[in-house]
Amino acid sequence: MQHVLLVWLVGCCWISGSQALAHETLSRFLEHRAIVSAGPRNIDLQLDITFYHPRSAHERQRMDLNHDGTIDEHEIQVYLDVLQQTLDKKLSLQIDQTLVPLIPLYEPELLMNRPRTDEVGSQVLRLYMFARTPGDLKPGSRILLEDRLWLDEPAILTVSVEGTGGLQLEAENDAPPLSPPHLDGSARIVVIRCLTVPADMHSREADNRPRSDQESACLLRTVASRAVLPVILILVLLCPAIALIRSRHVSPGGRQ
Amino acid sequence: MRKRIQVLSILAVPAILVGILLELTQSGEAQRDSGSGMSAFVSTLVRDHIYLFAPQDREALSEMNRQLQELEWTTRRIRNADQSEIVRRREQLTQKVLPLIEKAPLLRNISFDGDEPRLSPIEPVASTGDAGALLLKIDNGSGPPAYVVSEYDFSTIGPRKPALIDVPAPGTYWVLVGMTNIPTGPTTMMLRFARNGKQTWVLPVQVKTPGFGQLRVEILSDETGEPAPAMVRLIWKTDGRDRKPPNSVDLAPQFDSLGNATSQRPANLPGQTLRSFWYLVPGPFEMAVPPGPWEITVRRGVEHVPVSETFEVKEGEKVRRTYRPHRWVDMRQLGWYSGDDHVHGRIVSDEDAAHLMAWIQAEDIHVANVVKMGDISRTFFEQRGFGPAHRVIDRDYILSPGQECPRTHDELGHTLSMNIRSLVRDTDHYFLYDWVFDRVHEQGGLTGYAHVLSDSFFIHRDMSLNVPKGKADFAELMQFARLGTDLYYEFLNMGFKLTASAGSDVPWGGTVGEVRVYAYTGQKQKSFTTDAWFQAVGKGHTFVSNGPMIDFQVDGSRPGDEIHVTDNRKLHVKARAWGYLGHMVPTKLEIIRQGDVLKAVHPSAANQAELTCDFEVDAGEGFWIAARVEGSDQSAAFTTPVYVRRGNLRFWKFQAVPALIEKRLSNLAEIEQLVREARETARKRDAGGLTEMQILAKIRLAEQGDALLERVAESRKIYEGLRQVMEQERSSRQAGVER
Repeated sequence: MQHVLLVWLVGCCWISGSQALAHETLSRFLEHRAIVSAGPRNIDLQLDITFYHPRSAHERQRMDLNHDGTIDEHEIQVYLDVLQQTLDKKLSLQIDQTLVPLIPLYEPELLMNRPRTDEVGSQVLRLYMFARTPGDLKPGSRILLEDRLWLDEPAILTVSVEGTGGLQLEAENDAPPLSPPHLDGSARIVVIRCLTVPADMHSREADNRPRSDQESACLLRTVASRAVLPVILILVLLCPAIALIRSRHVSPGGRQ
Repeated sequence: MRKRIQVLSILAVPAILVGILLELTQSGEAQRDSGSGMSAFVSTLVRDHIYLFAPQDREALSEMNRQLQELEWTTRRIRNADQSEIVRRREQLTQKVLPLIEKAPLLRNISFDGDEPRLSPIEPVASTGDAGALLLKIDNGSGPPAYVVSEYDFSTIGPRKPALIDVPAPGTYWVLVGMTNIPTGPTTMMLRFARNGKQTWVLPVQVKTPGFGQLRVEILSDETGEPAPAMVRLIWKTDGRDRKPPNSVDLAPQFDSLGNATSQRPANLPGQTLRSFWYLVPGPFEMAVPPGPWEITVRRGVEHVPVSETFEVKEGEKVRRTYRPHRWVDMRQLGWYSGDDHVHGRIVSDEDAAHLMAWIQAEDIHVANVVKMGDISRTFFEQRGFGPAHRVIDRDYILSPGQECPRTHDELGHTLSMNIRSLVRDTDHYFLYDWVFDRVHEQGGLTGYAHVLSDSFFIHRDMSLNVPKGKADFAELMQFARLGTDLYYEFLNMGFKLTASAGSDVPWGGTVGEVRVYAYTGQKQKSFTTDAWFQAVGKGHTFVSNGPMIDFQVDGSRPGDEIHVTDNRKLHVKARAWGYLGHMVPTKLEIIRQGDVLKAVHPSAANQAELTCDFEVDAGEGFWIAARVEGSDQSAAFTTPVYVRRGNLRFWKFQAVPALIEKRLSNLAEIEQLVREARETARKRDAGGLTEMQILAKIRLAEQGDALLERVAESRKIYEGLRQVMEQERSSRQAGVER
């Protein structure tokens, strides 16, 4: 009887197509391997996300837009482009509780043995990001990497940290390496603590700070000022209109 | 007149608003087009082909790339950004980047004489090796610049299938063609141009590739000076990409396509070495390599100092490198032998066994518990047999078959067994972990829990059920480069003994022995045997580590030992943690008593390779006491406790026990709830979006529910009994136990 019940239930599941493939439990996990390299000027992040089989096959099926079983360069590019558009929301960096822009450094890479949906094996999505090292980074500063990629999947989290140019860092390994799905939308967090900074950090920062930072700020200011102008213009134009409406509204009684 | 102005004003407001919106929308569209692929072009150039540039230009180009990416990022973030400002900024960056690219020695210009493309200079492009890149500047008349990135693999694209470069509109095109598998010597590369959407032209480009050099690498054992297996990373510094040694072992077929089923092992190692991939090299190798600078790194497990070297190979030259990684500590000499409690890998042939044997020798792991893995539906990682007859032994390296089964994911967690004579698996008893534990013990084996460090797969439930019954021997506290002791401390603090263990869980983990458990088999010669090692684990004579080494004794007793005291006498605590200067040194040595730091020792000077402490502590009412170490590269180590018992008192953390009992009872209630849910699923015949395996698990759980609930009831009684013990002990403790 139990056997019949089992066959019936499994059949229901299969017919309904809900997660029909049997899952191998750790294979449901995605490995998030964060490699952080920080120096006086830049903080570089390489994030390798490994999809194990059969989860990797599901991801390749998503890429295969024309369903021909092969993933061509265009399909990979579309997949990576769509992903890259979401990175702003999915990855963020805070240093001492201040949000720091985390910017793509290189084009993302997809490493797989053979670009076929029926290929058995894992694949790695490699993302490259960077942030400018803030000038006020000091011993004790905390760098928080917030990872919201594939939150609905369990994860194996590993982190490697390297300081360069006199900067010394260490990862706080408080979070367990096996992380369940974060269905509440909260980020997986990697915490890195700054141990030492080079003595000439601030002068070096001032000397070497790429102009782009200043220019980016300038660009932001320009944009902001551009946004203010139309508002002022609208207000100027609205004033007579409001005056007209008010005058019409109050005039009968007012003149009496 | 005034009214007209007012009416016009009213009409003008929405018109202006619409106008502004339209303008902003258009500017956003325009921005997306204006990049013309420059940032992707420069990013690929910097990431993959920075070697095309003179060393003094590389940093500048790299910084230009960062600024370009910042501009793109800012542009994307601010949809209504000032178009003219973005154009100005992009133009500024372009003015800086293009002169740098034009300086690249390999740049070739293509112009059109009528419709026919002309190449200048016409000298062959000198590739740096069998991988390289072609940089082209195509003058297709006046127009905005455009950027193209393309790949040309000589092993798949021949003269019959030229690479197509599309030049659809007037303008200057900057083209980057990444080339791989370039034949040595002169080669004609066929580039086909589709120009202005009509004609195609084939342009032959001569590429001249230098001949190979020959590299022979030999890695020697530090003890014997004989060739030995090792983990190797070999990088051609020109493009920064790794090359696979020709004799590297293909481990992938033994992984049943599970986990990181690849021979290129992404090891979870502390420190900077974690960042890369490793190949298992069983012996000396020789390979043809493109000329240029090379970097090799050789590892032989945590007891050896990794060797890293950069050297030059010239065309036609034979380079021979020999490495002998220095063993900075030989724990065998001190009576400690390393093991990995969690290695997955199929062994159905001598060849399979030889592969895994080479791997544990390369990582210098003496005992690998090679586990056949099971779940409710099937098994994985086949073994050809169990028991002593099926151990694979090469000198003092041993592959011993074990099991990771039962193993439930949403219910009770994963278990490990070592030193078994046969696989213990019966799906009719799958949720009755004690049934398996008892049979493993009958065989003389050891049982334990996997992934305890992160309390994964609800392992706390079965631990709450079976640890108080003394069914489990060990707990896996280290994995994926992490040490996790929270759940472990809870059980110790209730007076239950558990041995600290560690396992890599390859192929989900990176490499065998990346975390390891050391067991003390004694310092007498030939005291190490497979059975002696398992006996040592059974007695709890262990510590776990992925770097630092520990020697920890209390009154001469080692981890796992129990000290009985009758009064509040002084106990002599001695601990030593050590590493190796220039490699890894301990940065903190802590003595942990019942989960709290009793003593912490930090280095008093820079580059201190050893931390020690030597002090006395009152026996008090008894406790468990262990040592914990942090390494300078974020490695860690932790010992199984020494258990101090005063009279008949438990070594538990008395004040914490009531809350811990409540927690355990709550865990048992979770199991009762699981049984209820499973029965409900079976009764309703509702799949409810579950997978086949989840359904199967629920049905089996429903079937075994009565037996499981009986066991829960037994454990509840044990916890109730502990409450009574607490009350009995309370008076003794208040009286100061004959103090």
